[in-house]
Amino acid sequence: MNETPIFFENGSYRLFGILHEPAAVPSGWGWVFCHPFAEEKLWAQRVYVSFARMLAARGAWVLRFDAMGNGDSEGQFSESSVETMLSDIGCAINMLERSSGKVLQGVGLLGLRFGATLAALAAGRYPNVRKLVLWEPIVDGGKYMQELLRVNLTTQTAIYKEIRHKREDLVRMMREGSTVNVDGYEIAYPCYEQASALKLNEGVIQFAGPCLIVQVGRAGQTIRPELKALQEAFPSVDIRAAVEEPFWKEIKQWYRTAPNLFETTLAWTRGQ
Amino acid sequence: MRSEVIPVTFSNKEGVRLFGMLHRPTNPSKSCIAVILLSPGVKMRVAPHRLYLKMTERFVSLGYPVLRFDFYGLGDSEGEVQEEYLADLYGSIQVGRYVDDTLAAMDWMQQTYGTSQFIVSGLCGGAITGLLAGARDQRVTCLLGLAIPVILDGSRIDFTKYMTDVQSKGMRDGYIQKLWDLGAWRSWVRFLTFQSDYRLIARLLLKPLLSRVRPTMSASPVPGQSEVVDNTNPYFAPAFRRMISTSRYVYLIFAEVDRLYYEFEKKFVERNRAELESYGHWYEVHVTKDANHIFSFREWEEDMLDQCSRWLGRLGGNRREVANRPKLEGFDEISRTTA
Repeated sequence: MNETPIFFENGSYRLFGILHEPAAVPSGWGWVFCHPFAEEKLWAQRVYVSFARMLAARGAWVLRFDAMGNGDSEGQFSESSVETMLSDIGCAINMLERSSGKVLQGVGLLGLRFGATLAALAAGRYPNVRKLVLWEPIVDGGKYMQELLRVNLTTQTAIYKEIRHKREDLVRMMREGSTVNVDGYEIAYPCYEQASALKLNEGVIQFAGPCLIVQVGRAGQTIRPELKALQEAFPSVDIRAAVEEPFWKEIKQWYRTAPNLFETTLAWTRGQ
Repeated sequence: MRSEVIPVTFSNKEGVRLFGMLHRPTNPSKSCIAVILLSPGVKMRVAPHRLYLKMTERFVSLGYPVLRFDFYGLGDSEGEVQEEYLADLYGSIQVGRYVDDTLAAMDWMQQTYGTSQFIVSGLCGGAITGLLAGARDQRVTCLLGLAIPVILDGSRIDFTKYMTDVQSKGMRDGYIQKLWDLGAWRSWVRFLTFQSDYRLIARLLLKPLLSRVRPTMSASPVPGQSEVVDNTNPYFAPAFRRMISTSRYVYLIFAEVDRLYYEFEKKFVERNRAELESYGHWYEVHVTKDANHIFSFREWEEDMLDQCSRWLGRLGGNRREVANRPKLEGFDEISRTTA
């Protein structure tokens, strides 16, 4: 395995990434992986590593990177927002192109959960993105932010046996400049506000290239309405279901790889 | 951060390449001791909510070089972990799965930078790995452990059989509260649709009655051994004993609401009190009020970091060589401090 740790700059801060070089005849494709939000990133880490190695073994360049305030990148999580995350993805795309010697015929973006949401937005912003893979994308950012606030409420209840700061208090605190703690991550208002405003299926998609949406769930699942609606937002899209556990959160299984998800994705990339 | 950050790789004894980040302070201390932060569970070298980066920042500001690295099969390191269930992976860590990787990290630091004394630190699985590594290798001069587990996890272990009284009472109170709480309708739905753990509920509700009619089984170890008839890690007490009896410091920080704290008190301290008191110079416990297992709220995290800094500051402030095993000022007795 030829994997190189790299730091690269985005303005005043440095981002950290691991560059996977092709371990087979180069395919001419490069992939930038966009990680999910907060602690979901850590739970999904090894699945990302395994899939990056799988793509590299098939001749692709892959860059896995940490957005500002995440992982080993510089900056504070509380300073991050949707805009900083999209900007970081843009820097990562440039870094991948430079690192590969500018021989790539195209760059693909792959993301999981909120990372998929960001990938879908970034794909329309950066013209060198030619493919898009969305694993279990968050379609409704507002709903997702509410789920995160609920984590804070649950922690309050577990510790204090009461809710000291209600949901509306938390939002007000953020609006007034404080942060809200979700599993140890301090979320500030710009992040909350920008993410809450995101509705992927309401006219924000500007990417016209090929896209794969994968719903992750149990056997026999039917595609959820929100993903069907998202499908309509892309002119060239395939939607698939993969049988896997929700490995981006704490579950009983140890998820180092996601065979059905990987095979679904590889089959699609082979067909492109 | 006042440090130079260097991505590093080194091999463990199986030849598997491990990945890490080395932080070298711009103003190193004179102690020539490095801190190695050991990964907690599967959360790799950054730990939950980047806790290890915040710890690193504190340690580096005190002049300590810090190495954070990924064990084999985790994070960005090579290798594979084959366990199907997290509980089994955790159990394997609790009996020393990653001790060799820890020793490999020390070997690499010694060969590359000449460092021969180490403070090993970590949360949960990282803490127990540090303790077991310390029992094996005298280069470990101190353990700074957060939420260290004294029990064994495993998918086939029924933890409800071995809950401490405090844990049982907490869960029992929770169930009783739900009986009258209209907001807990989901719990009722689960109960009425056969989704609840009835064995657990029965055990919790009946325990106070059974304890009156059945004598409590003693779980004290046979002298010289630590085997007990519950889920206590048999390697914990010998390793702890090895550390403090060879005059190496152990500083433990627990989160007050974490079951691991009750388990430590019930399954280790109570059973080994006399011996611990005789080595009281070498170990101290701090409990962060209200905190959960990962010190997630900022005030808990700050308290934990302050305690770490305070302890390391005293360690570094002592000008005598650590090899001479000095007693730290303020560590003259077993102390229980609570924020």
